[in-house]
Amino acid sequence: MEDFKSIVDEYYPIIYKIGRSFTNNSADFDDLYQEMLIQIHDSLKSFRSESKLSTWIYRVALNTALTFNRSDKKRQNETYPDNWERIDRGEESESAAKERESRIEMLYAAINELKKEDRAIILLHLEGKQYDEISEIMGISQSNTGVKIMRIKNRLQTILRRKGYERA
Amino acid sequence: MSELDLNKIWDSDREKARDHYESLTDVEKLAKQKSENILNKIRRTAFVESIISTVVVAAMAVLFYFIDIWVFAVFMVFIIPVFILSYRLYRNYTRNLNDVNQRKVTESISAYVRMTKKYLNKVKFYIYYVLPIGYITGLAVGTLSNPDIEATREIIERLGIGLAIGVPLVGFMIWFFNRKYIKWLYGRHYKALKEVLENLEKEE
Repeated sequence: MEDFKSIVDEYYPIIYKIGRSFTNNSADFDDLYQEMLIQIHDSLKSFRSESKLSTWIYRVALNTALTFNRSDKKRQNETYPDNWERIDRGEESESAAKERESRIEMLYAAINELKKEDRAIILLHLEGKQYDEISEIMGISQSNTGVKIMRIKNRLQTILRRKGYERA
Repeated sequence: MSELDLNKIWDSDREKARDHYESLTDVEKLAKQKSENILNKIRRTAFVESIISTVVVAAMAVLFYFIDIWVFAVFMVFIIPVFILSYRLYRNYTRNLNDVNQRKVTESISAYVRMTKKYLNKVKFYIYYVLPIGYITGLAVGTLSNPDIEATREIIERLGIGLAIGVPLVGFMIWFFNRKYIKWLYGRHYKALKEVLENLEKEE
């Protein structure tokens, strides 16, 4: 069985993305990110390899995010500050990086407007998961998964259009 | 706007995730902190409750032992089954808690809703029944145990109206604020979880 550190080394992008999709300010993000790490760490002892490790990680992280309880009500109206994280732009030009950055932020903001359970489903879809795996993680039927994804995608596109998102 | 477009944007966020991850000094240390998850909070509360009740019961047992051996015996006969039952409930609760986050999302949320409701019902039972009965019993026992019955009667007569208003008022305030506290602490969260579960289970 893999150890905690090597698991997190592999799956940190999804922990980050779930954290961003379920919070609207950096303080809540830090709390949720840490809570997901705690839950993965504590649950690892009882991981029985009955499901794929990736499926297990998604379940633990999504269950933690869905049951995450904001402790401070004042934080709810806060937002992520501009340039919240340093970005390693590599070869990318500054304007292209800024454009990409603004699209990512817009996508997270749009996902944040969805209901919590819809965020979980669209997040798995954006991760490229197939209906059978989404159904296995969420515990809903494959046909219902398909219908829900269609409905959530339409809603997401409506929100993005309202926010002025255009195709690159 | 196409679906492909969104997937591409989504995938391009890896750099930020990596920068954030690399900025964390000690991931293992972070993962060993205290969980703020609602079920873990309930588990900690239940643990503290069990410690406090054990201490109180032990103190009462010692007191009864020195007052009267028969009172002590009756007390033990009643309290031991209660203790065994409480311990089994606590053990089952913590055992279920260990794998609740690893289940399918709908199963997990359903378990959260069920366990939170169970805890809320237990707390409500204490507030609505145990607390008022215990309060009134304690007051009655305290008053009647005074060997100077005349003096007690005189005090009750003198403070009659004050007591008649004060005792129910204090009782009401304890009940009211406890209720508000529970609603504020768990009620909102419980309602939100129930809503998530209902939406997930809805066939579209």
